[in-house]
Amino acid sequence: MFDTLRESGWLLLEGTMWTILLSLVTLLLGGVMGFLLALIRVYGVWPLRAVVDAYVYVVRGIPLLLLLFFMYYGLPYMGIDLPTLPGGIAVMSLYFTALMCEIWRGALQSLPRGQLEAARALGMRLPLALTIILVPQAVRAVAGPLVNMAVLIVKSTSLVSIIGLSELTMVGHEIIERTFKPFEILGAIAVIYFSICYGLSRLGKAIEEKVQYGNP
Amino acid sequence: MDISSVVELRFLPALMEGATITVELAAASGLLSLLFALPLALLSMSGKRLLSAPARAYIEITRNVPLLIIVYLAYFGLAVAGSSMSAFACGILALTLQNSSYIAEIYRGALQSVDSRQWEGGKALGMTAVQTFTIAILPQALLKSLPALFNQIVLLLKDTSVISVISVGELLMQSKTLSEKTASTYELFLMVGAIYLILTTLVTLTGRVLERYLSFSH
Amino acid sequence: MEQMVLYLKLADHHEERTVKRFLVAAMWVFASGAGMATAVAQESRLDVVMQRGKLIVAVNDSSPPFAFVDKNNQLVGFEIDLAHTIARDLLGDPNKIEFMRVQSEGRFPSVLSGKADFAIAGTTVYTARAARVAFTRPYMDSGLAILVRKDAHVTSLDALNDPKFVMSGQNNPQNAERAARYVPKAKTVWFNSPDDILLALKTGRATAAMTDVPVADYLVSKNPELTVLPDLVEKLGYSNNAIFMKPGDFTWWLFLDTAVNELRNGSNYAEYSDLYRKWFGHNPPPQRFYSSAK
Repeated sequence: MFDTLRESGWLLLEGTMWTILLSLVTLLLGGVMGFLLALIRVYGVWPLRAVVDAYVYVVRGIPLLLLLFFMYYGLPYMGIDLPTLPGGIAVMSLYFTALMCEIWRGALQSLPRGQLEAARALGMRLPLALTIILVPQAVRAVAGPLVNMAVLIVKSTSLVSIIGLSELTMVGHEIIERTFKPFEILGAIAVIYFSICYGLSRLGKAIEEKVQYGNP
Repeated sequence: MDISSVVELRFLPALMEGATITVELAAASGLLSLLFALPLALLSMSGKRLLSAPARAYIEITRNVPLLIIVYLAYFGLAVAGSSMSAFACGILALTLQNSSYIAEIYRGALQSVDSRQWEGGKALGMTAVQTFTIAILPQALLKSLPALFNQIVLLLKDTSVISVISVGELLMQSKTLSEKTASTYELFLMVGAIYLILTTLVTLTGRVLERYLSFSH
Repeated sequence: MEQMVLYLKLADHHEERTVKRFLVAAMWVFASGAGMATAVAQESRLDVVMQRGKLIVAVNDSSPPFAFVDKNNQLVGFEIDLAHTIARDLLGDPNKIEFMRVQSEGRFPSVLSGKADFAIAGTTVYTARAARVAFTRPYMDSGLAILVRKDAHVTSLDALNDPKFVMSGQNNPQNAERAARYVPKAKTVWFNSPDDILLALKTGRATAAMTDVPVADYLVSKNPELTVLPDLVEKLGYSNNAIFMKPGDFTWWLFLDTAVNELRNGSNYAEYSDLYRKWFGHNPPPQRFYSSAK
């Protein structure tokens, strides 16, 4: 059993690296874009809010697998041909932007309205009020769900095999068909995913505690 | 590619059959998860290490492993151990295993967010801990967790598509079978996307209606 | 086009507003018709490939011995080697090729979306599929073989026709049809990817599986607990595995069809035989079924 793992170990490691890379970029892009969308959603004008609403509604209502498929194989019909890696990143980010938008929205809306009114009374315009007062508090509220999101992202990367990105699950299938040792490889994959995700949630708990410290 | 070539009505009967199985999978594992998650949540919050440690371990393991792996373990792993549970049952098992963890965490968050003064109030009235819990705390916690629970059900509906790998005839599996025969992957996936959207919308709407109804009587 | 836009910018007078509106309408009609127009006036995929200087081919990544991945993450297999041959004959260098790894649901969209020039992915020709993708003539026969677990002690197809056995295979209606015809009493379970079929056989979820003859031979050579039922191809009939591409491009189809024909029946037969022997262990069908000896 360990022979198989030893000879395929390097390939599995490579696949893991792609999984982690894809997850990190998705988390960053999704987090930032989701934040921007949430701003529109909470403070924006009606037509923009409607557009963001529609986008979030559609993206959350369809399985990620189908979204990946449409964006990779459907966009060329409209003239947009994405190569595999940027395409995978773009699609995952778009999906998680919608999810993150909801989380940021919840955080922003959970802040007492009085704060914004008080800021306005002091003569602050919205951007300043956001930067100094609201966003730092929203970040604290978002820390917990953000960690859950990170774990979800890592697990969802297994779906990008549909567009041919050599992340961990796809590499695993390729190795199984070469070596015909499904149990060992699947076991290794399970352990790797668990380690990454469990590590992330521990890290998240530590960050959450640090962020809550000093917050009544 | 105009709209009439995209929606192929002859595929609808098979897809509807698939949608029915999807709903059955989601309903069965949803109900089981909702039930199983409550004792799980209570155990994980317990002060006694002996009770909380296994519960927490279970939650961490099932939350941090991709659903696909859990499905494989339930279907193929059990077969190695000699079981011959049907693919449908294995699908429900796998979905329940993971979802009960998510829901347990939702319950835990909701229970912990109920004002501690409720407990004191119960004591003051002379109620036992169990009474306080069942009459005062639990209903409030459940009400608070409704939005998160319905969100989880939507996720569950979408997760059922993973069960297609073990040959259960749910929606995605049906569309893959048909697209193998006719190479009309685009048309089928578009129709399937629309059906998922309809299903998830129904669940979300039900959730909103239920929330409003229950909030009124509060 | 630019001149029209310029004219619209300069045209400010009342009298010319109607002309302006007409031109805008014409532009809309032109733009929407442009899609169709470009399809007609478009150069062939053949020219596109020559200009690009490399072929983009969609292949499987986990169906040995047709296409799978070796220790160095390189694609190898019978279909991979065939693709290299075509690249060499078209562009002068067998390595001027980029492989796109697709799963079962991705192979048709890979060519229909225009991402791949053609696909060679163990795809059997069925009439219903030909309505959507263009197949060349077949590059090999697809004969059906039945893999079974040795511990089932089954030596014939009829013996499998029993409710205590489970038949499996790739998920498509043709396999379902065959199962219904030959083993109606057996239970069935269908999978979307080859490694799930393997897993099913190894864990006992399936007693037998329908596969291609070369795939069955390869799997048996690497998995001693499996065996193949004696040759059933004559009983179950042949099918065709073929390259396919987006329909509508005759020039490109003609080139690929010629390439396949030369491999199977003409100037490239020697190379085809070598590859055939390398991956399947025996000779391919002869070049001609008739003898010209007198």
